[in-house]
Amino acid sequence: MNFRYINCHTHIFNVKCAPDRFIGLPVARLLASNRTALGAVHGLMRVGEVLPFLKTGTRESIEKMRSFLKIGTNRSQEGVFELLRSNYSFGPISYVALTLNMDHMGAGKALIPFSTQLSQVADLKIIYKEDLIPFVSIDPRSGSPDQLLQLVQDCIEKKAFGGIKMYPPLGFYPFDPRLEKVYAYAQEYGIPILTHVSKGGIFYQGDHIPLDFLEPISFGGDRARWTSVEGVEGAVMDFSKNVRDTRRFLGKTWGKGRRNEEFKVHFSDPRNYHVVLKKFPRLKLCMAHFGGDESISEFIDQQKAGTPDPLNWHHIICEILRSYPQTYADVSYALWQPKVWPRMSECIDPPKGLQRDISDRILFGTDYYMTIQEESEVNLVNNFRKAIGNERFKKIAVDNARQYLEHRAPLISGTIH
Amino acid sequence: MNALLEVAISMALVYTLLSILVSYITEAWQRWKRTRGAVLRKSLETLLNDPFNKNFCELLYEHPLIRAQRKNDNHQPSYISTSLFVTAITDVLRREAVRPHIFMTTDGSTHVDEPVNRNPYEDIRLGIQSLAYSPLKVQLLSLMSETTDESSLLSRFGAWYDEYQQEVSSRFKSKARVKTMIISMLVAVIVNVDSISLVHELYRNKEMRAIVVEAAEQYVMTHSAPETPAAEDSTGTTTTVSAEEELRILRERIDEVETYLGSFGLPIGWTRDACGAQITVEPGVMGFVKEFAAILKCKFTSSSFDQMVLTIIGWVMTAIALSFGAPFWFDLLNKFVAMRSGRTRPQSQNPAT
Repeated sequence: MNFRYINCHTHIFNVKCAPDRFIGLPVARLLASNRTALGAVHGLMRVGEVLPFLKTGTRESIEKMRSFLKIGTNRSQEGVFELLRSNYSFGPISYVALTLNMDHMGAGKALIPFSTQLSQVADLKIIYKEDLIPFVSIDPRSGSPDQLLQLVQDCIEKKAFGGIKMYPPLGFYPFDPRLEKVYAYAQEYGIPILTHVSKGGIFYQGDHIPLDFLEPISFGGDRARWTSVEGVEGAVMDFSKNVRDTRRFLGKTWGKGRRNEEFKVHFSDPRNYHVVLKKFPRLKLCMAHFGGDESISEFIDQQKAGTPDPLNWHHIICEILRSYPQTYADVSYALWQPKVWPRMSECIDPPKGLQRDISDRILFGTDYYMTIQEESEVNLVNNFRKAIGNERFKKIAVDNARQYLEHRAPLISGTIH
Repeated sequence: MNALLEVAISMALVYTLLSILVSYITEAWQRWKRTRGAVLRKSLETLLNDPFNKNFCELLYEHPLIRAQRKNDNHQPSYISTSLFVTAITDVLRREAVRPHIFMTTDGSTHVDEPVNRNPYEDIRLGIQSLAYSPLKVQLLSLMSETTDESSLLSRFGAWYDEYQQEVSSRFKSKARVKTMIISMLVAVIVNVDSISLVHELYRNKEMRAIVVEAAEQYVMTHSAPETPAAEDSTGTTTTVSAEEELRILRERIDEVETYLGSFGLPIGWTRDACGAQITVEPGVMGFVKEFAAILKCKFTSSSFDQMVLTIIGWVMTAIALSFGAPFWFDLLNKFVAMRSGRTRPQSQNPAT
């Protein structure tokens, strides 16, 4: 066998890398800080009769949360990576491990700052070589544009990282001008970028709302403008209205009303990438989660009803993929939902008569270990693989993935023959 | 005068036996809670704290040399020797400047090449200099400025670590003292050792005193100075003790205390008390707890306020005495026995902490 499967979307950072308030639920936070308590919960779950008052669904939810925390509280990133590998009986397989810079998400301080997380992953690359393909996470708030570029160059060229990871809901827009140099570098060398495009996931938790959240600035220092939305094309992006007008939410709010969680969709909106791709049309950009399982489900329902919504995120992503030949989407996290499987099959291998234009740019990924909250990694992969068939699976996990990960950036010592 | 000395000998024996039990329980507790490992980790987090660069403590703990000290994923070493610390931390710093080269061949396979023929001293200097400005960087650079080559650097780092560990050790001891005090109090109450009534009984009862003094003399002749139990050897490294082994050792200690104290007819323990006789004993831990609660209730309802206060003061005095530790009481016992018999016994070879 002369090929290698690639899971293009996994995480191996542990709870030490996450800030204090990364885990929202106080009980979960307590369990994350105490493995003995976590073991006790497991014990109680095993003897289910002890908790007869819990409904089966609740018990399952607790068990899933426990499984998630058990992986997350592993001593090291290497431990999490080993757990990931233990789920795969087929291979050989490589894993794209997406690092995550959570230093600026306003959720407190992490025991391990991002620099240490990165350093540990770089060490793991030396040990696991082809099996591990780390992506360096970038956040425009973490340094000057030159420092960001230097970080990316250092990771790609000296530490053999495979690409760049972005997670805008942590509090930045993808068209942030501070990212311009990184985009230019990535476009020049065909370095893959993977960005979070789904309505779920973690988000900025800071107490204050910076002005550039409400009136974002784009490349060249100008106010960001919509580029391809019907009716508002060319209009300035202004989210301050949403903040002022939404006062009905309770709980932690931003001054005039809008909750952080509600606001995060502005950061992860796929329309933001029109701005980026207009300037960098050859950027190798993967929109993770394909818009998220909710958007895909809605898209399926709308298709059935014959009432397509041009603002549906999955639809927008498909349009982006059609417009920009270097853009990709991965099925991570969304693949847990059986409802989306036929749609995935359709995208990977469209029925006769439909365009095949995006089928080469769908990637396989699971979003380990975030998905443990829905399904075990083994079941997730096996069920999905069975549903779409081996050929399609090979296409997205081998051929498309290899094409996506290939880049021309020089490694410090070059390539030897 | 002789009677006072005999009472002192008897009390010293009681305190010696009980403080051995206390020190064993304290050690077992610390071992179970992995206190030493946690204190060491916390102290190194403080020593290597660098908010502007990396968590060097984490990198140190994940260094293969330190990882090898771990028994499992949850275990944290309770002791890191100076040489191990210095070797690991200098390697962590060196890697800030010098990393292995990663090569990719045309078939896509990855190869790693470790740089060779480099000057380790210069690499460490480069590693430190590559850090962003931080208090730790300033500290490391100032340590480095006092050195000229690798060996002087290693010894300077070693001295730095040792100085800090001494401070940590004293902090740990003061924390441990509080725990010892609490356990001493529990032992005093559970075993019902009321120093006031004990001294009173010993002073009053000549026959009892004679038996205890004779046993004390025997004890001194047949035992060496008590050591800290098996948890730690002289280097501070933790030895593995299973739960069964732990219970077995604890049972032995309790048996020893029972053998000595039970045979003297001293007013110690609950069952000999008037209240103890009225309680029905149930098996198991819950039975013990119920029985103990019932005895306490009976004791305090059948006593006057003055008696209650005296008993509590007696327990507190016992707890304070036990917190001095077994070596202290054994040493004192030795001196009292020598004083009484007019001879000196050679000091123990291995006085414990």
